[in-house]
Amino acid sequence: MDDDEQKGYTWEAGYAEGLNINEVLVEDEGGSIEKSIAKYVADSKRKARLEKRPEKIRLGIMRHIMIVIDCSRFMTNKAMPPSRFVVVMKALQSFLERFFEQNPIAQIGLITCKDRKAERLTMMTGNIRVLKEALNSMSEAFCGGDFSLQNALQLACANLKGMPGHVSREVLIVMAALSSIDPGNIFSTIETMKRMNIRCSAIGLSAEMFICKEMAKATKGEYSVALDPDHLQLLFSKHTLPPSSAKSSECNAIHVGFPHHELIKTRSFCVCHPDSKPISSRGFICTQCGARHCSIPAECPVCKLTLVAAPQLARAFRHLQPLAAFQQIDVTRGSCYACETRLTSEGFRCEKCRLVFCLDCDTLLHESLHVCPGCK
Amino acid sequence: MSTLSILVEASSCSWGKLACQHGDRTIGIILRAIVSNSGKYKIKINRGFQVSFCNAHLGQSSSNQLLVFAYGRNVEKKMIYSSARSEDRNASRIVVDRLRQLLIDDSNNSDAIIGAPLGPALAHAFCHMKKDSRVTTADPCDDSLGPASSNSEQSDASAEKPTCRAVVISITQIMGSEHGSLMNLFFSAAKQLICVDVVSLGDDFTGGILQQAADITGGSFMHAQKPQALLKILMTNMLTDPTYRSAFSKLSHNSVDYRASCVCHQTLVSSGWVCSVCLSVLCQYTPICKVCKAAFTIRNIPKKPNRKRKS
Repeated sequence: MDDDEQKGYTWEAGYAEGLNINEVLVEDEGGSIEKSIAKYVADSKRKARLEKRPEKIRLGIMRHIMIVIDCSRFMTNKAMPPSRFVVVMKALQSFLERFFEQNPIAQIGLITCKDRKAERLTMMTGNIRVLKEALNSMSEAFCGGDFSLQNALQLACANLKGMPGHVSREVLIVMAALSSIDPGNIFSTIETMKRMNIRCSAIGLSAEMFICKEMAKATKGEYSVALDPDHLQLLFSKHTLPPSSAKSSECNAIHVGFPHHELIKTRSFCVCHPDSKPISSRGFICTQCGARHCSIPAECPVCKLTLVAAPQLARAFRHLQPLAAFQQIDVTRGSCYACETRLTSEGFRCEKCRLVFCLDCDTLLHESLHVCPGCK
Repeated sequence: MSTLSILVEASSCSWGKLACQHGDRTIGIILRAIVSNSGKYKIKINRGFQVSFCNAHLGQSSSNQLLVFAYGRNVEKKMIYSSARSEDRNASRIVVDRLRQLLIDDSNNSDAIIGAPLGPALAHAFCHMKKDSRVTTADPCDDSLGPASSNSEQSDASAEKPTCRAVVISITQIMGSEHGSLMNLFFSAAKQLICVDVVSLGDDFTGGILQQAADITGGSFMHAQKPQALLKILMTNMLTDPTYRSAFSKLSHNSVDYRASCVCHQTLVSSGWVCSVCLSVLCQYTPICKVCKAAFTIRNIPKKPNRKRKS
C-alpha cells in the first residue's frame, strides 16, 4: 500500500517519460519556476554538445522545409511577454540565420494559418533576405481566428509534392493554439504525409497536444513544447542540424554554377534589387545566363541554376565529419590550452590529443569552429 | 583596443626553399619585417631601419594586444608569444628565439613533407581572441557572400568595440584536404567580425583558399614577390584597424575565384554537378557518384537542368 502511494497512479507513468514536471521544474521559495527553466535550458544545451554526433550515416543535406506559423488568436496571448507572436518572430529570425549558415543549399518556404485557412507567405527560396522581409511584413494585428492543422499540412504537402526525390522534405509547425478545427479526418492527412516521406515536426507554445505527438511519431519528426523564450530558441536550434535520411531515398546530381566575385564595370541592374541600383560595384555573374547577383547562394531567377561558392559547399562537409565530443573532467589546476584561462572546476578534454579546454572554448569549438586546436 | 594575431608558417622546407630563391639574407629580412631584431640576432645591414610590424602595432596604443602563432607539421606549442603573459616582456627576442628553435627542430626532423596545417593554429587564435575581446555577438550579416544590405547602423555599433584580426603569413599553398575545415573557420571568423589578412610569400600568387578567406572575412590578400616587399605590404595594408579601412581605397579589386575543383580530374570548374548525398563536385554528369557510389536516378536528367521546380 505504501508503495502505491509513493509511485502514484499507474496512468501517471505515461507522462513521466517525456518531461517530468515535478523533477525538472522545481519551484523556488517565491514559487517561481524561472530559475529551473533556465537551468533546464543550460543542461539541455550542454547535453547536446556532449552528445556524440553520429558518423558515417546518410544525411538529408539538401533540405526543403515549409515552416507553418500559427496566426490564430492564440498567438496574441501574453503568456510569453510581450506576446507569443513577438517572441516567435524573434526566434524565427535568428533561426533563419543559423539555418542558412549550416545548410547552405537548403530552401525554406513560409505558410501562415489563420481563420482556419492556410496561406502561403513565400515560396520555397534559398534567399534569406526574401524570408526576412516576409517575416517583417507580418504584424500582430494580422492574427485572428482559429488554427487548422489539416489545412496547414495539406498546403505544405502541396508545396513539397513537386520537389525532386533526393531532397529531404520537412514541415515545421509553430503552434500556439490548443485546438485544431479541421474539415476532414486529420489522421488520413498524417498518413498521406507519412507515405510521401515528409518529416513533420512541431513546436508547441502552450501545452502538449496528442495529435501533434502522433503526427511527429508517425512521420519521424520531433515534437516539443517551449517553456519560455530561451527554451524556444533552443528548440529551434535543434532543427538546424540536418536529419538522417532513409537509405531508400533517391539521390541525384544537381547542376550548380560557381560564379566569380568580381568588379563589374558595365552598367547593369541586378536581379535581387529590381527597384534600386545594385548595392555594391562587385557582384556575381550567373555562369549560365549572365544575370547579375549581389550575393550568393541563390537560385538564378532567370535560368533557375543554383549558384553557390565552393567554400559554402565545403562547409556542409562538417555535418558528415563532425568534431568528436569532448569528455568532461574535473580539474583543480592547470589552464585552458587554447585561451590560457585558469581552470577552476570543470574542464573538457579532447579524446584524441588529451588536451583540456575551458567551457567557453569548448562551446566555441563545437558550435562554430569544428577544429580542435591541439590535434594534428 | 585591438588584438592582432600573427600566424607564421614554420616549416623548414618552405623557409629553405625561399632562402634558395632569394638569397641567404631572406630569413633575416622576413624576421625583421615581423619583429625588429634585438640582441644576439642583430643583422648588420641597414642599421637605421628598426621599424617592424609587431612593434608598430603595439606602439599604436597601450591597450593593443599581440599574439604570435607558428603553424607547422610538428609544432607542439603553437602560441609562441602573447603580450598578455607577464613573463613575455621582450617581444622581439622571444619571437625570434622561438621561431628559430622551431625551424631548427623541424629541419632536424626526418620527414620531408612540405606544407603545414593551418586549421588548428587558426582555431587556437580564434579561441584566444574571443577571450580577449569578449564580444561574440553574432553579426547580423548573414552567411551569404557579398556585402550585407544593412551596413550603416551596424558599423556605428561596432566602432567602440575592441577589434580582432589575424594576419596569416604563408609560404606554401594550403593542402586541399584542409579545405572544408578551414572554410568553416573563416565563416565563423566573419561571423565574429574577425578580419583575416593574408600575405603569401611563395610562388603562389593566386592564393587559392587563402584569397577566398580574405574575401569572406573582409580582409585583403597580398602576394609579396620578394621578401623585401613583406614589410611594405604589412605596414601599408594591414596595420590599420578594419573599421578604418573603408576610408582608404582598396588595392586588390581582382576577381576572387570561387570555383570548385571536381573530384574526377581535380580541375576547376565554373559549373558542375553536385551529388546530393556527399556534395562532391563532378565536372560531367555520371550516373554513379565517384565518391560515395550512390546511383543517381536518371528519370529527369535530359534537357532540364532546373529540377527545382517552383510549384
